[in-house]
Amino acid sequence: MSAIYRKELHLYFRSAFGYVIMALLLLFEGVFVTVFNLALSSSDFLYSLDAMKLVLILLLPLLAMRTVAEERHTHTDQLLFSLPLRLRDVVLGKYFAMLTLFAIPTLVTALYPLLLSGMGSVSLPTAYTALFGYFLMGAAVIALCAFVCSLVENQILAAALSVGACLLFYFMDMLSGILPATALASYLFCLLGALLLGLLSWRLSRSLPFGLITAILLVLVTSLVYFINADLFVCLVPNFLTSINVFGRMLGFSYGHLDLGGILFFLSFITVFLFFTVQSMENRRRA
Amino acid sequence: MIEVKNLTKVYGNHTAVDGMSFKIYNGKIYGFLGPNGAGKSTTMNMMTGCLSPTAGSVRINGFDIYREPLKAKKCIGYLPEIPPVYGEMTPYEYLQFVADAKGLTYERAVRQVQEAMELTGILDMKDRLIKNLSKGYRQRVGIAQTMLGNPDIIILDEPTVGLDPKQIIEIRELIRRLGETKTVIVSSHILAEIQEVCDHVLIISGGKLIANAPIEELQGKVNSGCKLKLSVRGDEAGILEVLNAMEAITTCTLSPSREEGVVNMTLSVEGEEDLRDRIFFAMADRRYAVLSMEREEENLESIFLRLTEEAASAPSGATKKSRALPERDGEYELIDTDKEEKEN
Repeated sequence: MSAIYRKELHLYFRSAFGYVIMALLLLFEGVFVTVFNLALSSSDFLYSLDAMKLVLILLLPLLAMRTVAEERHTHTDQLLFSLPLRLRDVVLGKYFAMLTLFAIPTLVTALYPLLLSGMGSVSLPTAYTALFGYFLMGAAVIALCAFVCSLVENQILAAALSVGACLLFYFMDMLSGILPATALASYLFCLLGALLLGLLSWRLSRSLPFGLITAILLVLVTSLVYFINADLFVCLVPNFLTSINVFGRMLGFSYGHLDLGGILFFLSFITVFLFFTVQSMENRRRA
Repeated sequence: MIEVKNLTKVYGNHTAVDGMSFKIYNGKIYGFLGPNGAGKSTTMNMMTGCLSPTAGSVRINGFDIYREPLKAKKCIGYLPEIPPVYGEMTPYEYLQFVADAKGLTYERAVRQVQEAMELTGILDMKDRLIKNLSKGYRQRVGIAQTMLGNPDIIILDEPTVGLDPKQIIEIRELIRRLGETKTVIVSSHILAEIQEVCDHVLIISGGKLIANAPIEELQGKVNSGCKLKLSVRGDEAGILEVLNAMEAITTCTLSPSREEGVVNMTLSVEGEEDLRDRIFFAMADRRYAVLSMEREEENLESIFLRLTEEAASAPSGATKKSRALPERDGEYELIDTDKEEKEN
């Protein structure tokens, strides 16, 4: 894992790529802090970090594209496959390298509350909790982008799909608002979800029986629960979508609330998508 | 030692590698020979764990590459068809990375990287970015990478493709040097290369292994028989009658002649006996004039062509095969007569 990590960082900083990504992150963080904190004389980092979401949606997919999708294009993935390395370690090495590139500008940003506290009263715990939430959110977005980029060979397509996936999460609250909240609708969505999960497990395991069993089991369990207590399904899907929204989950942190559930959510989100990335790369070897 | 058993790879409804089984023993240079698209790269990718097979198994020094991949992969160094190098790194940095990924300690890594660079002749280029190197040097960086970690087996997929003649000779020399201490497997669609470098040949065509023999044996097999090219003035039926009396002749292929009353033919002869004297006197007895007679040793090239063509035409039946041969012979004949005319 450490070999891959060092290699990735080396490649970021050998070309302009790493510097450009960091510079852009720093630039926008600086601009937003100037606009929302300095100009408005506010000690609240809520708005500046909120504005950074869109910057992350545009920059982190590029980072993932370069780290995950490029190897396939340059055929260096064959080297990684033939070296005595576990795929898990390859993915983790790459993930931590991306995380490092994101962490450096975030650490620089961590100086802003200290600078601002020289000009007035700033609640440092609130500011640093917000930054911590922001970092976790970025880490989750990187994992999501890594997975999307591992699915396709074409780099432009990888970046476009990653931006699309991020935007889907970004507008998730709005989307969940237009979904019907009745129990039946939620039940049908759950069935659809069960079928999609079955499809995913079929694609990832390459075993049709396994995919079918997964889908059938999920459909049966969902139906059983629905017929025992349909009330459980009221508002289930809109609530579920709101709760997996990586961008929405940051809100609690922004108000200075160290949300343990939120931390657990981000960590599981990262684990799930990194696991999917490993499976997707494993799958590529089987293709 | 590598044991490949019933290795199969199916893409959709196309079978790229079809039930291949063979063993690779230590200390020799093996050549994978086959036309483009025969399944050489797919086989090599499966042997090195870059690709999962649809069926079958690969064991390297007793370790299954899919069940115990880390142990198996430590025994091999692999150079895929396109050298897997990072353009933004220098050869030195790249080799350090590979040594690091292969789990070498710092001192061993430094020593082995130095040795690999010396052996492959890239010391002068070690601090240039790989993207600025020529294809030959990139190939050498790729080969240097395979040697790190001191694996027993080195697998090189088409190591000389796209190189200039001087570079090709250098790479071949390098392969021979590697073969002194390690088992080397080289793939190529160029026969001369395999003939020159390898001890043992595996001929692959249409995803199947169609020959697996030491190079001398393969050449010997053919040299035990030979071909005679004959041009005789006389009536065809009579000439064939004379030839039919000789048992050592297995086939006789007639080819078109430009001169009236002259029969051109190619005979396949079995056994060690030189039939030329017997044919000459037998024809003379019947007052047929032998205008030319030429003995052709079958070389590896023709075995290769014959075997791969047989494999390609096998499913469509024997008729295609027997029709294909005279046509090709006819072409040879015309070219030869042109040459003779020019010489005259």
